[in-house]
Amino acid sequence: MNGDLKMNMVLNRNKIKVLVAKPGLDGHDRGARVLCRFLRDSGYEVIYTGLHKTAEEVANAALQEDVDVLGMSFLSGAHESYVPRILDILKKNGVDLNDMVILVGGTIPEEQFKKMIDLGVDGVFIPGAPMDEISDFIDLKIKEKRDKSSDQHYFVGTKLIKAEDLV
Amino acid sequence: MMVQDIIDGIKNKDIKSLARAISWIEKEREEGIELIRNIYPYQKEETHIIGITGFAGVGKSTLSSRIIEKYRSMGKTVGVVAIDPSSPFTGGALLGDRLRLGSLSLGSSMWTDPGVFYRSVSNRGRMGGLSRMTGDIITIMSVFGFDKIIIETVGAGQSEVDVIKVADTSVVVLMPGMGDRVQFAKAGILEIADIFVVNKSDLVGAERVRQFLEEMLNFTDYRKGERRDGTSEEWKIPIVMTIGEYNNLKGIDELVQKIDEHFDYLVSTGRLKEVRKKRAKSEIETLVSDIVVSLCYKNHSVDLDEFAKKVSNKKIDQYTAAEKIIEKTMTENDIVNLNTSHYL
Repeated sequence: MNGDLKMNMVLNRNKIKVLVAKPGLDGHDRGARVLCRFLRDSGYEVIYTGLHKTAEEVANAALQEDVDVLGMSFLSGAHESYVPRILDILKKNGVDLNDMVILVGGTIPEEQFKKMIDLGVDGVFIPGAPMDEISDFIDLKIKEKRDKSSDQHYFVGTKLIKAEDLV
Repeated sequence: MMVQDIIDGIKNKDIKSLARAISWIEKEREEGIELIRNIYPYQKEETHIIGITGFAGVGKSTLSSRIIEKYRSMGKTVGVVAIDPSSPFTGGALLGDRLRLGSLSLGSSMWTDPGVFYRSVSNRGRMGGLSRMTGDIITIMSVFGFDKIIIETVGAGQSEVDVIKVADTSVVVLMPGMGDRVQFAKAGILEIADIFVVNKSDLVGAERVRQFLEEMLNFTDYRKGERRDGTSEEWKIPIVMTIGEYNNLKGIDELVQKIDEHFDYLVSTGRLKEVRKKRAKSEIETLVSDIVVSLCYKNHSVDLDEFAKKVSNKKIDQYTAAEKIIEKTMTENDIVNLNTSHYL
């Protein structure tokens, strides 16, 4: 992330709550647990759901814990059905997606990045995305949403792009 | 969102309002203080506050989940505050209690049960096993109207005993393999229990733990001139042997029964009032000391590093330094029109 963007981000990360979720039937969660550890070391408060959660369970946890960031990890291709369902339940319960940063990570095919963003996801991270970029993006996105900034960024695959460059 | 909207939401049992109110407390927002000032009279007397404490890894979270499931089967609603430690270096935390909560993949889901509200919080570096916000979160949950509020402390060391100050019923969880008789004679966490649990009681040595606890309790009663035969008015601290693992469950019904019996005991003897007063006292004490500390360092011109340098260079002693800091704070601050929210 370039220096100018980073300069603007002076946030108290202890007061940022992140839910790392494993919806669906993925059999392993090393990636999600490594991310939890990384975010903890970066100063965030991280809640981990554990494996095998339903869409309703993930959405309810995000609601009760009133998290600032919801990150969902998929290795099984289930993101296509889970992401819209989880976001739908959140909206039905009165969550404004402009209030929550939504991230998806895992094995997401490139041709579905745009679809995820259109659903309301802010960042899609695939294997190879550096972890520092994840925390930088969280800080940037929280600030953009809080300030209702006209300049919105998204993260697709392994890179940060501006809203107008999204195709 | 406005404070009044949240208050109305909480009174109307709106989950999102409850969640946001707790966030205000956690994020130390001014609205949180205003909220508490407005809702404190509506706390429900009949809310039962249960504290669960014990060393790290004894099964507190798993046991809590089994207790929640039992209460749900009895039709009781449950609010949970699960506290985990924050890093002394980065302030970050991994809040890993929620993942023990019974989910659909294990049978029935406590995650989606509308009678369960589960909140994970970090202790923000506070010693004693609780976070400063715990008292405020209990207040909000009590106004919301849960029948039971469960406070799960961080994995305790020997002296994380603060839970006794906020809970009506303190449950201390142990497991086999935790030391010899001397460990059980030490002061601290073993003194605060209203109920003892020996969890993982299928493991070798469970019976020994029960025996050590019995000996310790007998001695306590002997000192008080009482016998442990149930003939006196005093609460007899029970020892419950449990297994929290799903396919091997043991003792949960008995534990929940004992927890409820203890509450009945507090109510029928009038001791609940003392317990609640103790909770209030501890909250005031915490606030006063937090505000005074913050008055000294946060907003005004006291340069702690400067004092530290003088003390370490043996120019002044540490008592003089403390006196000077407090003197300076008292003379330079407007103590009369104190606005608390500036200091928390």
